[in-house]
Amino acid sequence: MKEFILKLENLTKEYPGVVALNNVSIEFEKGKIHSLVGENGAGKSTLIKLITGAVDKTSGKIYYKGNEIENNSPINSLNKGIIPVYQELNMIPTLSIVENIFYGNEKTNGLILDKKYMLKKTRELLTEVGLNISPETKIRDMGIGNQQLVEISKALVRNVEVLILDEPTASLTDNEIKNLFHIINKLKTDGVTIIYISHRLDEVLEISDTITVLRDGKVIDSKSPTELDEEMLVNLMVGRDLIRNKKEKEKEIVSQRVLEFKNVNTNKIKDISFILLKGEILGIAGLIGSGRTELAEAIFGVDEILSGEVFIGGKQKKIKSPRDAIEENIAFITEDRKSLGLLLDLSVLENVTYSSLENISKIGVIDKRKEEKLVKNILEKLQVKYSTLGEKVLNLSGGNQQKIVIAKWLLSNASIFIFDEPTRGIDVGAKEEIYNILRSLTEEGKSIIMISSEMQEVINISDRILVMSNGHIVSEYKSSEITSEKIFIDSASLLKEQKNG
Amino acid sequence: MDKIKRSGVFTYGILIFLMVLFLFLSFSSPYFLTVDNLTKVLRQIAVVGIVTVSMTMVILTGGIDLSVGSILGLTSVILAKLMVAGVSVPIAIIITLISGMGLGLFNGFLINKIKISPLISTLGTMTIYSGITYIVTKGVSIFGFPKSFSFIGQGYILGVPVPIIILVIVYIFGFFILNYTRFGRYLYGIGANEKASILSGVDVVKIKYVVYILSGLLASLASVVMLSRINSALPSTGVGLEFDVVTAVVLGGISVNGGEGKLQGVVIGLLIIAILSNGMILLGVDTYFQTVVKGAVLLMAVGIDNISKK
Repeated sequence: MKEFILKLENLTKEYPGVVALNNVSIEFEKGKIHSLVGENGAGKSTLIKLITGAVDKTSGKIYYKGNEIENNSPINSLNKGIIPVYQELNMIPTLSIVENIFYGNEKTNGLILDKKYMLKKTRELLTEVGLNISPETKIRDMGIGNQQLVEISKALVRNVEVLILDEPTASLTDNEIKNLFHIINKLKTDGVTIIYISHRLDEVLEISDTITVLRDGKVIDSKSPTELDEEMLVNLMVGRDLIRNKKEKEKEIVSQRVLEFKNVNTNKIKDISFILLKGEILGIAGLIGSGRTELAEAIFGVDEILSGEVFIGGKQKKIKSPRDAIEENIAFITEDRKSLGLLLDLSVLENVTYSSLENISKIGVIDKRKEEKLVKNILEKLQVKYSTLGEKVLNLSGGNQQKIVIAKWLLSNASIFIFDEPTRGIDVGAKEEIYNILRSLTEEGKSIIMISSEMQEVINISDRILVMSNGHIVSEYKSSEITSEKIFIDSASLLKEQKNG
Repeated sequence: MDKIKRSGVFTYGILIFLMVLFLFLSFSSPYFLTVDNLTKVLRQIAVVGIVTVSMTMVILTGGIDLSVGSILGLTSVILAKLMVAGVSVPIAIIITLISGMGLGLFNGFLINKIKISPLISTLGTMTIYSGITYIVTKGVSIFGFPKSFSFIGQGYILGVPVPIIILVIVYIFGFFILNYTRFGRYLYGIGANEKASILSGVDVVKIKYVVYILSGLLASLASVVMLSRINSALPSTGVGLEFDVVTAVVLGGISVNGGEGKLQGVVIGLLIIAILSNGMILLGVDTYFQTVVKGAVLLMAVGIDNISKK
């Protein structure tokens, strides 16, 4: 007999002018992993908000353990054991792991904090999630992958019955994902119900017991992964046959070196040499912490280059700041769009021209008519969906925000683009569009360096691939000769040395 | 053309508040709604008003300049000493404005080079600058300026008091900078996201130097107007000015976190501050109680801002 811990019945949520969820009924079986998939805007987030009580439903019913939940609120649902872990981590960077885990839930003896207990408990939790670091490490000193694991430990400290994971693997490397899946499966055997949301369909197919597809606020289908494959899922999600991302024939690359590093060292990367050719996509693979982002930062003048030589367009250059890099027509599309790429509270217009105001102003005065025309053109070219140019970018979806960042750099006349995790947190349809933009950039003769944790993405999109490990470039492949396994083995190659040495 | 809306609701709320205040005072004091009184109000706010323009820019970048009152005090003493020593009025004014820029430059140095937060940097220089003022004056006021000097603070052009004309010019200048120039756009951008601005190639350090220098410049311009109006440099000139300035700016809807707000709103904030002071004097409200009301208005402004954002 199946036991359903959570049941949604004809749930509807309307916002002014939009029906975010339309008559949705889903049953969640106890002790199973139930995935929700759908494009951005399909209603996944709204669904989670209704379950956790973050927003009120318009109509319909939610049953928890057979009883209808009324007057739902975040505190009530937490107390019931329904615990969400959001994609945007909710932790205080300046506090330690133990302080974050018990934040708002501190264990006390009378008035005094029971630090001993909390430390011991935190150690146990960290072991459980496979994190081998001190509980007193500050969050800001940890990588984003480890932070994610702390966030999950934070859920475990409460009596968790239903664990909601919203894009938990968006910023994890394949190794970390394996570890996470191991933990999720362990929780499942303990009887915890998991609601899993992810854009990575291979993962969803691997881990789920049931997959529910949402589109335009409606349930399209609920199936077991054995009845599905990635292609079928994508079709259900987008409701049209998406042209699958087929590898084009290897392009004839005009071998013109646009960027070259010779034995470059910074504090974080060691003895880096590589060349970037005109019109190619150079993929950079490796684990998080292998120095991928740091390589990008060295190119862009964020990190100081201590020794070695940099050539741009054949001439030796010194790049000491992002301003210098931009001067050399280099663009850096950062991994963390929200805190490093965008001015969230400013408008679409202001964001798009932010790096190229010099080109549209005379003696410091902006030619507003020209500005508006330029922005409209570029946004149309990139097919960005927005209501007005004055709209805050905060209100746009992840895919459209990413396009705004790309538009900004296109206007700044960049010819070398560094993309760090270009499709992180972006839905399937928009991913394909981003790939198309990348390709069309190379057709225009621009060069791209693409860093990604998704091995399939690196392999499919790049012309050549560099694999990094522990701050070094360990290998280089043509994309035709590489497999995920090779990347995987190379990525880990220098980790052993590090331990031995 | 797409209008870029910023904190529109808040500005309307504050506009209604201004109108209610205006109506209330019109009914409760027969003297309030007279040309004489209203001109006086405007002339009095000129000093505070000039500084609100640069304070708006500073706060937009996410910073603050608490030293404006002290810069005003110190530069008015410099101006007074120069004139008493016989330096011609225009030269004295130019030297005063340059000194103001220098004092602002020092703030910029502390903030950008030494990396002390704007709050602490300018809190420090606020005390230093006002300390210097007392040392220089030995606590005694300076007076005895050329007759021609009083024109700036007391004169009229086509029937309009000169301080008001200066204020309007400064506002037009500020409006132009904020809405039509690269510098203005960067002020918003830096306040919205300083890291992203650096990565977008904006010379954040330069912009932040300029904005504090501008703050010093307008504070010293205000000191010229002030000194000309009261005709003597008191060691206590400018004390507490920063409070009125910051209140007017925040009332006007400029977010204290930076990046948001319009100068048009600050005009309304400024008028509220001015009318409130004037009204309380007309109604014979106790001086100490006036300060309580002003503080409450500041907190109310920030409170409404926070609540309306939810």
